[in-house]
Amino acid sequence: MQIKETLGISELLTKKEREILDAWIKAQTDVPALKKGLITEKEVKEQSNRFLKILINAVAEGNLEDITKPEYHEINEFLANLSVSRAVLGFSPTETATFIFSLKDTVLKFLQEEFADRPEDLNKVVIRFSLLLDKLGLLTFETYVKGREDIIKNQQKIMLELSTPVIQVWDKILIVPVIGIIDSARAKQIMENLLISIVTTKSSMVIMDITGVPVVDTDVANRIIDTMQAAKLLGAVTILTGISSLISQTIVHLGIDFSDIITRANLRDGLELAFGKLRLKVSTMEG
Amino acid sequence: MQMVPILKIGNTLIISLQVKLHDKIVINVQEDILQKIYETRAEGLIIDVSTLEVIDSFMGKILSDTAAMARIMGTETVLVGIQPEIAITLQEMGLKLKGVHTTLNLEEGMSLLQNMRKAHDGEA
Repeated sequence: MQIKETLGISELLTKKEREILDAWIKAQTDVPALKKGLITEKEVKEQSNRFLKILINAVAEGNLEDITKPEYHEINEFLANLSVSRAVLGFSPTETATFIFSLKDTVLKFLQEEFADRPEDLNKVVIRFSLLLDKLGLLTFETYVKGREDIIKNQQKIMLELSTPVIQVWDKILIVPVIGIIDSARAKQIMENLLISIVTTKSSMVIMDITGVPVVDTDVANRIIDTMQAAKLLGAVTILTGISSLISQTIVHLGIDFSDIITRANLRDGLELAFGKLRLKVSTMEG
Repeated sequence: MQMVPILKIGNTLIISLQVKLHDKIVINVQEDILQKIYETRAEGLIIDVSTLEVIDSFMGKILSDTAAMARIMGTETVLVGIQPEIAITLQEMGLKLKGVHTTLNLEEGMSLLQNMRKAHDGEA
């Protein structure tokens, strides 16, 4: 009984492969991703063609339940690649899952025609085929999310690397412009970068500019103080600049002790102070 | 028994701590330093830790104590050549080296002491 039903689906797929493919592609052309130009119609055709072929192969074995079995190995791999590549291209979850679910709708129509005279069989076949494609749909969704997570992780890494430059502006003067939120991972990276730069450039002045830091709470303040004190251990004079009126108010309200640290309202004043401490003078050229 | 030589150049005493010392020896070194300051009436003390790979909390405390003691005797202490990793560790341990000046290397330490001496003379 079971084998007969399965064979029914398998045979139908093989017999009507051409028609199903055409109908399926037609169903997919409505997705917004295609209209947005994220993917060409040709690619959709290729992907659909390939998927239908490996699906027919897998179903021919008579297994419609367990998609972890070896005959579904190729399908799993294909869907994983498909979802990850679509995630990278900027498909929405719905657009990605539509690939599978539009096939389901298409095939169900064909099944209805085929089993029109056997309503009892039709019912069973429809349920089993739906379950299979639902599982595959979930799989696409899962790998899609995984692809997205990989992208996020990568971007985080890139941001961390980008966001902590240490610039030597003059002999013995380093500037650390901090932009964005300072979490503990970033604070650690800033500290390491800064200390290593102090040693390699033999700098004795460090200006840390927090103009681009939107919020300074107790944690952030402590991280800044830690970094500046570590720099001090290497013999550098540290100057904190870019303290806006809002930040200065927050710092005082929170009761954070900044008295050990030289502070200036803006980078310009900090730089002037650093020049002064190094006994350097900026002057206008004569003539 | 490990010996740590204390060198004297002009009015400055220089010690180089090169390997991790046993706690007991660290205390001996501290006594030696203070004795030497008393004998020579040095104005500056430079402790070089550039080859030291670890500074533990005990060592940190002794260093900061020594500086405080030396200051009472009229001597300024400069700790030179702290490695970045050590600076990070000290910071993470929350160890504050109070009353200790720090510079990147021995040369800058010398010039810092010189400047302080000049400023001091200027006041007087």
